[in-house]
Amino acid sequence: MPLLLLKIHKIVWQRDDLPSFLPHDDVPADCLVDLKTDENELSLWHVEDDKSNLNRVVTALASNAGFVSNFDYLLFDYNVVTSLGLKINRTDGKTPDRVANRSWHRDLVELSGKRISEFAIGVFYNGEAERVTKKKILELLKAAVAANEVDQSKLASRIASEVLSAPLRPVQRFLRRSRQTWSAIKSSWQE
Amino acid sequence: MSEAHTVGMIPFSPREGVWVESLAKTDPDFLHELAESLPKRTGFMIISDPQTSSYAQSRGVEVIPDASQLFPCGSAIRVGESCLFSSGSVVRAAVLQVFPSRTALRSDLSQLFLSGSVISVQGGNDIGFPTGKVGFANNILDVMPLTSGSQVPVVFSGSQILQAQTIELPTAPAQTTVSLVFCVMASENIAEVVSQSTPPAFSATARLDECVADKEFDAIFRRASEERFEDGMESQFSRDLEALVNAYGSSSKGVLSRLLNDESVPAGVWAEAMRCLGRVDSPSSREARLWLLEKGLTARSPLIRDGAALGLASMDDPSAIPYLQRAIASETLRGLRSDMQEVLSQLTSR
Repeated sequence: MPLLLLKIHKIVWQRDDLPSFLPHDDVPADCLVDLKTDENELSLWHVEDDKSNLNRVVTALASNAGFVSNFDYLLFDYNVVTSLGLKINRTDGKTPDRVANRSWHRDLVELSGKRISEFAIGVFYNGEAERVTKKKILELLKAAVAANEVDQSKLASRIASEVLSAPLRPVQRFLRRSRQTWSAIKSSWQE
Repeated sequence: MSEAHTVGMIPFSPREGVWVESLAKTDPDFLHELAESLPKRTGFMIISDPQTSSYAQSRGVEVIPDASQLFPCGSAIRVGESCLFSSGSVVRAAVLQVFPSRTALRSDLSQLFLSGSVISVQGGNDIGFPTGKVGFANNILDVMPLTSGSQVPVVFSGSQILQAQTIELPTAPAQTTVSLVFCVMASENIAEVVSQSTPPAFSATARLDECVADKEFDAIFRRASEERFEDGMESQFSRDLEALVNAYGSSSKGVLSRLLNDESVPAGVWAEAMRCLGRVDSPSSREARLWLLEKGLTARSPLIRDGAALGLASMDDPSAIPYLQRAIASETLRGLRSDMQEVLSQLTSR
């Protein structure tokens, strides 16, 4: 079963030492800050069950930022969404990575206050919060630029200045491109 | 200069002494500013750890590795027990030592300030000290008058508190000026340790620019509570904070340190501040920012601790390793502990 990725602040999604006032089936309200809806839709990203496109999705999102930073995300099973009866649409993303935008961006649609709360609870207890360090993000961005995966003209100037300094080695580039091509093919086939 | 507020927080009296500066780590800014400004007034010497010594030497500051060398034969000062001063023109400076740890420092300082021990000065003519406030850089040096019969505070050296003792001053020409400078170097800031053990009775020396900085920093922190922050995205707050840190350099440390203890500032704002402080490209404030980030690792809110760890990752400075190790050992949240370990791995693999 494929996964879905949501950009978050990892620290507010941690499940240790939850506030004592919180019932077992509820989530800290701070988590809702990461569920930024626009026209009742929430932007998510499709990740293959073997996570073969995970780095590319992360890189696409990180390349959309103002500067190189750590990247926190929540990864959860599609089942969480389907079991709640939520609708998900395939739409284009808006990152500097056209392939990622077309292949893996999703919108959770027709969200109400109640549904978004149910969604928050579902992903809080069934998702895994992860962090990619700034150092790793920088490596990923450099590789993505070297492989022409991201449109350099769309990078923020601070990112461009940090990223466009050291090229990726050819072997790394080849391996990375192969993995991502396979992932994109697999994704289209599943759709 | 770090801890511009320190002097103002410390009671000044013959019984409790003169506090010039608490120096976090081997703050090059502090040494630089001392080297630039203080000698013009008094001349000074530093006894310090090798790292600071080499820096001080590189700046042309006289460094004496051993207190026993401070005072020539015939001096009335009992060398090795105290660090003090001599009349005449031989020594016009004071002593400092590096404390091995904050714990040792805390213990020593509390003993020092609670003991109220003093040294009685006996004999000799009065020595005319320049009294009042002498400003240099962002600090104000209080100079206390020393006359025959007055009491001089106990001075400590290393991790040992010296016992009260009698110092005999030789007769000195009436015009002789002796400056007294106490410096303490520690591996961590000591301002709050000192303020815990002494009542904040003396605050008249706060400088105007410090007040202005206080207000400016305070204003941006208040405004920031309306903002939402996102990793990798600039905020109005981060832009403002960066500008102020650039403008005030190392003296931002005092203001930010106070704000960090201000519980009315939302944790989310401080988390953003921590992330931002790690990114700021300002060599003059580097030590101050590093100090704040290290302090942030022990904040009550996990948001701030997390922000501090991210800030330290951005600074990529291995000197934060021991602080991270301690933070990891005491961190109760597994996820945060694991993220701190990532930062630690990054710093140790440099």
